[in-house]
Amino acid sequence: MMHPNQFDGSAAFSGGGFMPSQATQAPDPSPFSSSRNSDARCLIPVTVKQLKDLSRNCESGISIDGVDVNTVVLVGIVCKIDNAITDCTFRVDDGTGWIECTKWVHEHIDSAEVEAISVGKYVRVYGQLKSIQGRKTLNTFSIRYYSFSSVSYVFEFSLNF
Amino acid sequence: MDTSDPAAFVNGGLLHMHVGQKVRAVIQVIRSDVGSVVGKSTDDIQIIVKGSPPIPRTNYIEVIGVAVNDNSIRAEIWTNFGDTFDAYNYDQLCQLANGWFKHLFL
Repeated sequence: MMHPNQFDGSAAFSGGGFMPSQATQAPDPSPFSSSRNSDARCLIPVTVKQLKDLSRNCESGISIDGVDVNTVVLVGIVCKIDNAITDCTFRVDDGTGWIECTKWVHEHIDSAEVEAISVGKYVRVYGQLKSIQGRKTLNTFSIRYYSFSSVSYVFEFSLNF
Repeated sequence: MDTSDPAAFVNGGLLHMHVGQKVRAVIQVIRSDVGSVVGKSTDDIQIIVKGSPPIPRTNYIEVIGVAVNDNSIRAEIWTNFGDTFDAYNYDQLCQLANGWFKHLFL
């Protein structure tokens, strides 16, 4: 026999009033479900350290905290440039590491973008992460000079993501 | 890709955590001496940066180099950051990059 002050848990939860049944449970509303995000195109601010530590999701490729990584943006200093006729390969160092980026030159606007960058300048790079035989590089869509006062905003944005 | 040589975001108060290591900091220049610059970090601590600043230089400079001791850096790279700069925002970044989000930077 229960003491008057004892809590009878089985009686308290037997009605199931606040516990929805499996049949009526709503689907997961999280926008970051990797299985529903496989075709989404997100622009994700990252650091090179983050890219190095990326996990490989067998279903959808590379991901950060369950979000598929497709297009990324990072800010750093150009530390090396190799110009060829059809492409420009350069290294960007954001302080956490460096990554090789490739910008393919098809049109005048591409060559103008490439000619404007130089070693030692802060740039903002948009690109798609490529991993070939374990080596990660950035297939660059756009590279721009970056205003110094905004450098810290970009890094903080990558923290908030 | 290589992350073996990172430069930690530091202010004056965090410099002691990275003595002998590569660091980066933004300073507001107080005065230039021969072979060094005396500046104020984003948390208002006076630090000495050894080396030669760019010419011309702006009021705010980012330096990347090795932390010599608690209040000085031997700079290898100097970058003009302009005459106006959000020092508070950068200081918050330094706190986060050395604290809760350290794994994203170092």
